[in-house]
Formats: sequence, C-alpha cells, structure tokens
Amino acid sequence: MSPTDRPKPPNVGPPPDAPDPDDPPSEEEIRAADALRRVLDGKRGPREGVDSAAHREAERAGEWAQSLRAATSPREISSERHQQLIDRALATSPKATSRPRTGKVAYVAFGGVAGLLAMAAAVALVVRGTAPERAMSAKATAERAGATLALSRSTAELFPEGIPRSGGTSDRVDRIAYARAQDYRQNRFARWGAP
Amino acid sequence: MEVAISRVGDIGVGDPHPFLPWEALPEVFGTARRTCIVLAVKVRPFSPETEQALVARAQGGDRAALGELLSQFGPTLFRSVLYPRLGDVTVAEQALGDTYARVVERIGTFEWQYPGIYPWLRMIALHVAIDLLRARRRELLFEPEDLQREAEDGPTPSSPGDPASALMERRDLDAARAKLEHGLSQIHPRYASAIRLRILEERPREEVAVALGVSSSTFDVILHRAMAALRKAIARVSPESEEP
Repeated sequence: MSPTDRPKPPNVGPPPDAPDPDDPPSEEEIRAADALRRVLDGKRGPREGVDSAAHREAERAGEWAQSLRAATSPREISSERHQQLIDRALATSPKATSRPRTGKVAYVAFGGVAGLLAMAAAVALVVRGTAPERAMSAKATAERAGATLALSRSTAELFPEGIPRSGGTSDRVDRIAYARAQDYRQNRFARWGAP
Repeated sequence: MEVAISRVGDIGVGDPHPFLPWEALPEVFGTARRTCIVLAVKVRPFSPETEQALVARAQGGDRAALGELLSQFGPTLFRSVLYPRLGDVTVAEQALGDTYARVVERIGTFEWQYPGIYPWLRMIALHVAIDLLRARRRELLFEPEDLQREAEDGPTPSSPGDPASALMERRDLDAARAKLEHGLSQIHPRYASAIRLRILEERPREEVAVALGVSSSTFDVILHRAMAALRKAIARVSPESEEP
C-alpha cells in the first residue's frame, strides 16, 4: 500500500487556526485590527485614511463582541423600563382575552360580506330574468327594421338531395356551418336595426 | 432579617441558588461579613395554586392579574432568554415588549398544566427572538436556527417541587455560556485568552497586552485574528456535525 492509499487519520482535536498568533500581520490585517480597536474603544466613524469597508467589518465584529458578552454576563432590565413595557402591552388590548372577540369580529365581517354577495346574486338573477324582455325588444327592433330573425330549425332543407348512408360528412358539415354563419350575421344585423 | 452574603467569587450576582428559604441561606453561604456582595436571591413568587388562579383571572380579562404574571416572569425572560441570545439591551427590550403583546393577545389560548405558565412564556419569547434575529441579519453568537432548535426541544419536565422557571433559567443561561465556551475551546489558547480578557472581562487593552506579553499594537492584531477564528469555530458547530 502506497502512502497515498492509506486512510487518513480522523480529524481529532480543534482545527488549526490560520494564521498563527505569531505570524507577521499583513497590511490589511493591521488596518482591520486598528478599526476593531477603535470600535471597541467606542470611537465612531473610521479613522481618516481608513477605508469604510474595514470600518464596517470592525463594527460588525464589535456587535459580535457585544453578543459574546451578553451570553456570559446576564443583565437585568430596569424596573422602570419593565413596567413601561407591561403598561404598553396591557394598554393595547381593552381585555386580556381578546381572541374570542377577534373571532366574533371575523364572523360578523365574513357574514356581512356573504350577505352582500347573496344579495348581489339575487339581483343578478332578477336582471337575467328580464333577458327575454330584452330579446323581445331586440325582436321588435328587427321587425321595425323590416327584417325577420332566423330561428333554429332542421338542417333538412340544406340537403334536398337527401343524406347518403355513408360518405360526404365533411361536405355536409361545411354546408351547415356556412348556412348558419349566414343566419347569424343576418340576425346580428337585424338586431342592430340594419335593414 | 438575615442578609445572605458571600465572598466575591464564591457565587456571582445573578447566579444564586433559586428559591431557597431565607432560613437556609446562612447555612449555605455563611454569614461572614467580609468584602462581599449581596446575592440576588429570588423569592418564590407564588404557589402553583396562586399562579393558576392568576392565569385564570388573566384569561377572564383581569389585566391586573396578567400584569402580575408579567411582572414576575418578565425579568427572567429578559435575563436568561432574550438578552443572551439577542446580544443587545435595546433589542432585547423590544423583544420583551413584543412578547408581552403576544401574551396579551393569546393568553386565552393557554391551557394550564404543570409546571405553570413560564414554559409557555419562554416559548413565545423564543419565537419573538427568532423573528428579530431573522430581521436583523447580523452575525451574532446565536443564529435563528439555534433558537429554533431550543424552541423545538421544548421545556424539560422538572421534578415536582422545583420551580420550573428557575430551572429553565439556569439551563438557558448555561446553554448560552456553553455555546461560547465550546467555540473558545476550538481556537488557539492565546486567541481564547485574548477574547476572555479583552471582550468578556472588558479589561483595558494595554493590560491585556502585558498579560499576553506583546505590545499593544500586536495585541490588536491578535484580537482581530482571535475574533475571526472564534466566528469560524462557532460557525463550524452545527447539529449535523455533532451527530455521530
């Protein structure tokens, strides 16, 4: 077995940090370290000549440092501030158990909307019920224009030669479609009052 | 009344034995009056029966009762759940306010069960904290996923007679410290020392530089590297990596 074929030992222990604490710092590291120092010292804004990206990174590191402190050093909330929060929360709701009331409001709101929709549907039905009257008025308009409306009827008149038992289906369909399209156009014109 | 005291370093403020009766305190901590701190010993707020009655009154619309419950448990939520996980006083206060708003809104849905209302309050606080962490999108010690796991773990059943809020507070504080300590154990010892002394103990920069045997400017670089190393180490820790 060659050395490269040997299984690697398990990764035991903490992974090495790069770089080592004693490694010489780069220029970029020096700038970042200085920016972090300023943030930890509570100084606002980047030092003159220091790019703002390094300062923003340092500010993030400062926030992170604060979160580390918070994890190890619990703080108390001041009693005044705490009472403010309680008062504000209790003032937002007239009753502590507001949930049932919210449910009722929802029921009432949805009930109202449903009622309105039902009324609208009823009105629509009534309006549709008058459609024959409108049809009648259209018919009257057509009659006034001296035209008659073509009505639905048998297609037998289109085939005076009779219909064979087989064959010619497409031709018959074309003939029906052409005749009915003509009827349709004439009815439209008659309805508009065109002679 | 006997005031319980302890030498500095025996036990810190905010780290007391919870709910010990006053009579037991001298036996546990002694009464020597040397350089001392007064322990922030909590007094058990009310019996389970009283707590249950307060909850029932709060659910019936009694705002005073609800206010009493919040007054009692809110500081614990702030101290052990919100502040350590959100890492900022202002944000933690905002989270506590949001938690109260949700409690007021949902108190009617709470069903009483042992060990009381605190686990329910803690769960709401955790979810509020998750929302805030997601909204902030800043790198902090805790990620939203960490809190999600804590919320999914749910409350640990405590033995009868032990106040649940005290046990859960201790566990929450320990969890926050453990996460940091685990990260520190993964980095170079000099980096860990730099963070402990300068960040956690907030010692002056020059003093820490002397302690580490380097110049102040070299210490700045070491601290910068230490912070980067710790962030990487904590980011490496995930539930998947901890599983066998």
